[in-house]
Amino acid sequence: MYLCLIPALTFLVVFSYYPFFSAFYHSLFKWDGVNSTFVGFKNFIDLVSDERLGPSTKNIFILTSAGVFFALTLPLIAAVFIHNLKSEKMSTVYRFLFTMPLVIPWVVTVLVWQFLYDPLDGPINRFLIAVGYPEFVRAWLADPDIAIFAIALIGGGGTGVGFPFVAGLNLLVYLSGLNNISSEVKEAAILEGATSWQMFRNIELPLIKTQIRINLVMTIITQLQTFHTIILLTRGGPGYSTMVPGMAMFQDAFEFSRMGYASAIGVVLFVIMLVITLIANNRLRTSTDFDPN
Amino acid sequence: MSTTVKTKPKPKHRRPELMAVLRKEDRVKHAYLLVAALLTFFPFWLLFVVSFKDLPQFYHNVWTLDYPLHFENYTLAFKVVGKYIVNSAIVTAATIVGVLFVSSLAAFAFARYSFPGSNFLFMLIISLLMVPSVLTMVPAFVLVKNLGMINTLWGLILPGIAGLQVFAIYLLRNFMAGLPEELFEAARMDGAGIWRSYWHVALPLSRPVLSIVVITSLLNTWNDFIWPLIVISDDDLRTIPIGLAFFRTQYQTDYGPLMAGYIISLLPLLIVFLFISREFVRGLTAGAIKM
Repeated sequence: MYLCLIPALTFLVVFSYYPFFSAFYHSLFKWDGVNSTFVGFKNFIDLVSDERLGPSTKNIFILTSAGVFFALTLPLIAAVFIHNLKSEKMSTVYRFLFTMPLVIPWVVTVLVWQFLYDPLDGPINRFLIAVGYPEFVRAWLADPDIAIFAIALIGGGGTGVGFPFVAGLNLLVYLSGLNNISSEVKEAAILEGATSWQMFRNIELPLIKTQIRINLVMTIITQLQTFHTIILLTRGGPGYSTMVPGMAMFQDAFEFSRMGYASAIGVVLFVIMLVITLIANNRLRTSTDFDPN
Repeated sequence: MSTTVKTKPKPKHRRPELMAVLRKEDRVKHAYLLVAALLTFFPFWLLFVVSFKDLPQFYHNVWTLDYPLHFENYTLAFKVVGKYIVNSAIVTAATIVGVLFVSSLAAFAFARYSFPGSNFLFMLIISLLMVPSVLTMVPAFVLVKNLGMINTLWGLILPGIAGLQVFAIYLLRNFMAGLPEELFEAARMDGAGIWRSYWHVALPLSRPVLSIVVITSLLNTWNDFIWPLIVISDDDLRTIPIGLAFFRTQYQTDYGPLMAGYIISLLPLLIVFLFISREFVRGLTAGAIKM
């Protein structure tokens, strides 16, 4: 019996639990990956005066709000529409179409957006010039006032936040929730003569509350630690205008060799995420048991 | 699909589906969904179009195809991107096999047997679902460096298995625990030991969940960016995501080959998806609701 568990537990201890405790341990050290000196809570105290803290907090707020907005609006509408189409064939077609972008590597999606945003050759600026609005032309990713919003629009490219706005994981989660609504309930509502708005407001919306919460928590947690798109496009610049905590951590660890300090950033992020998860958890617990059928 | 409750009139027309599309009450829905689909696919349309252009064609017109089509962009791009695809395929395949083996074995033990400490061990594994990669990334890197796995594909595969097994064990255990005991009873009567009832009873019956594990592992490994970025620096070992980021800096404004490279690297998964799109939808949904 225990033999069956040995491979799993070996991986678990070596690659999961060891780094986990090592992160907490080394957050109290000055650590370059080889040598470590104990410094107590100095790393955490230094965090407060880190000049990247201000921009990071602001940007993470922008990215999270944008993510929450995108997660709770467009895909929800799309899911309800797809679910209630009269033609089952068409709803299968849409489902197929909107799942497709999820299998496109997000790096490709983000790099395509980098091309769209290109100040000289990019289609967005070329379009603006072609239709006679050259005054709106911008260096979308290089303008410190705009760059973070340009990034918020792309989001994680298929990770379910930002572009593709409708076709994210969020849509699939909503659809699975809608599919679980028992047909008797809806049948009864139809017999009562409910309009599609009443149906949405009084039946569908309350019954997919769980899915809405899942998407909400998932989006917040994803966005708090996101820096994939940023490391690919701007690396936090220009200046600190697109800096986020994850990016700062990456810089400290792999550019400045300040791995103890980077671990401290990781610890703080983890604690924030843990609190958010725990708040949501007691409400979510019943719904996470996945039924594959 | 759910069972619909709407009573559809028997199709009298020769093209009932087209009639259904044009149904008045669904027009707003179709309008919204079509606009959304257009916005979603338009960037990829530009990607497709530009991949066939040379520079003069690109500066002349980005919006539609121009003739002649420059297929040599693809030959050029494939010389660079081809090896990244091979590396990604190796890493992904090895990771998936590893995850399937490690997690199904552990899930089987947790689901079908009770032994001292089983609940505690299970909680120990599941609680890792709450640990984000930003926390463990730095120590994991130092660990992999000390193990001498920097700049090797093992440095991607082994931590990959460790990360993905957690959710896989969770899914598989729940599923295997629901399998009817009679089947295992019957196997035991036939003299099957633990190993045989795992291999001949539990595994074949768990295929729907195993396919979910395959798909979530496939997408996660194929798309992983930050970890390969810090572990791999040798160009011959780069996987697709970091390879493309590098390719981007090489080709700068040579848009035709650049976009051709992007297209080549999105093809493998897209082709898999076209064959098993239903499994993908299930796998993605399951992966999304892990907390």
